[in-house]
Amino acid sequence: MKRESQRVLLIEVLLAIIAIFTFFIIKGFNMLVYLAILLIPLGLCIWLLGYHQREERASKDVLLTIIIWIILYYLITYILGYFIGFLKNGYSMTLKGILANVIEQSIFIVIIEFIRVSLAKKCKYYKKGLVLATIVLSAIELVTKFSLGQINSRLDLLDTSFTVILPVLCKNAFLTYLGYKTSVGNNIIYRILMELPTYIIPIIPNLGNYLSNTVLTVIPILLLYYLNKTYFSKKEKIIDSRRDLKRRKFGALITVLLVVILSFMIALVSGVGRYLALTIGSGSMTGTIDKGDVVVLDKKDKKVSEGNIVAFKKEGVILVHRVVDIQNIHGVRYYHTKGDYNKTEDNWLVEDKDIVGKYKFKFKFIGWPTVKLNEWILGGD
Amino acid sequence: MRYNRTAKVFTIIGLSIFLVCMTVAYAVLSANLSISGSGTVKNAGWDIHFEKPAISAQSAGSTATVPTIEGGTTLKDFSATFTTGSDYVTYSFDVVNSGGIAGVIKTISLPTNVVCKGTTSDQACTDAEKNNLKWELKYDNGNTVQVNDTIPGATDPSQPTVQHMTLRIYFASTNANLASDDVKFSNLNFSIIYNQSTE
Repeated sequence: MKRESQRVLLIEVLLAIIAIFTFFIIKGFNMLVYLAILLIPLGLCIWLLGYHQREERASKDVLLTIIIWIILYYLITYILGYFIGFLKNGYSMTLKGILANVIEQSIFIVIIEFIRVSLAKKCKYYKKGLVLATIVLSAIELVTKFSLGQINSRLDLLDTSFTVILPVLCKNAFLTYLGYKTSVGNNIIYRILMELPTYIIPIIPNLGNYLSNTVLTVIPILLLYYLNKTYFSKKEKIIDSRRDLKRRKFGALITVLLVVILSFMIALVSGVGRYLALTIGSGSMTGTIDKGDVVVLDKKDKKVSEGNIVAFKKEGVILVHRVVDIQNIHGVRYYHTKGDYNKTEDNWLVEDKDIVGKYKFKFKFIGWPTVKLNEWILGGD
Repeated sequence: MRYNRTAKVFTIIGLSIFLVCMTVAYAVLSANLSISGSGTVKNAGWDIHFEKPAISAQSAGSTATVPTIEGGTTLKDFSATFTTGSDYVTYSFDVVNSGGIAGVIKTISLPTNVVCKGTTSDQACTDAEKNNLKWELKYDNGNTVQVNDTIPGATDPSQPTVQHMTLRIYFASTNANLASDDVKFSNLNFSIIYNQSTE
């Protein structure tokens, strides 16, 4: 192994030790102490690897592309927020609080990105170093996002894996490759524009956990794909043949189709549009809607009559039952509901405000993986 | 490449102007925006949760079960049976801050659309019956829990900050106003939302 690769590995091992130590051994997390500790690997990077600011060929163009994508991200999510609704920012919105958060995060971003780019630039003949850099720097960042004490069940573990770990991993993979191909400036600007507004903007779009984390996972992947194709891949030979052109058009069509289908599925599952897809986890409607089926609900159609199948919220869960009777008491409509397979009516009354949507149609069986996963999660509680 | 770069710069300028206009529009029309709830604080130093749910007091005629904690941040399965006017049950629980970040109460939501239904006659309750169910959320020193109350962060994780709270649910009625049928109340959702505090 070359000396440079050995030095890269040494620094990555040190970072891994810091992450493991902070996760498993230290009780309580203090950001200022953590930043002070991270100065050690930063110092080692500068001493052992050196830092050479070199203007990469496409660096400025990549930066401009990144900025365009980020502005579009904010425009789209905040326009969506107008229709879906907003949440108040959970971080402190006082000037002192904003400055404290922003300064802390800025220092963290600068330290980590300098470490990342120093490591990445020395991995030209040590590609495994790029992968290791992604993993250890993801771990370094994850230490700041959650503590093991916050995971008390399988549900918490699954929730943290998809809402915290996966987006962080995807972002770090993108940043490591970006740092390898361009310069530290691009990495820092990407992170500042994507992360610091979290501590400044007083309202955030209420996209829900599922959709917002899907977006944060997908954006770095898409951006990586686009930048790689546009700026980083070697120039291809221009092949002047109809067959090749047909193949490229077909490939582009397939890509567009996949993107449309995927977007449609995400919209359906997250319920951001008019329709919402739900997996049926119980057998109370067996015969009409079986366990494992996925039902599609129309959220806008709230005109409920007797015999309709509706989804409604009750005691923290969403149930899908049939309306068997409607009462009008003191000007308020109350619905009596019953599962088709149950012998008796439900022991509650449902109001209009509880209704999530009206059943439209179903897909048979495709919800079974979700049902099994849910049973596994609840089994561990 | 120069042309492309210029086009990108103009695109950024255009999009930024649009973003600024949207921000101004949202600020002006903020009253028309649907803003509800708070975003989560994703930070390892953030750990405010419930502990030790219990029933600290109840009237002679009432029965109640101890609520459960789900995920540390939800107290659920409140259940009580009142048989006479002025019956009550007082639940106690701790709000514990084990993280280094202080919290400030931004929202306290008490039930507004309680569902009340007769258990035998299958009818919804009258307004008088519904309105007789009341609740109070207080600290154990008797002070009412209010928005902007803070809970400091723990300087030592082994000694978290603890605030003891009580939730008293009672039926404020003379016996003359009691329902003729046993009634069951549901949709009793209480929530306390904490945001990050810099105190």
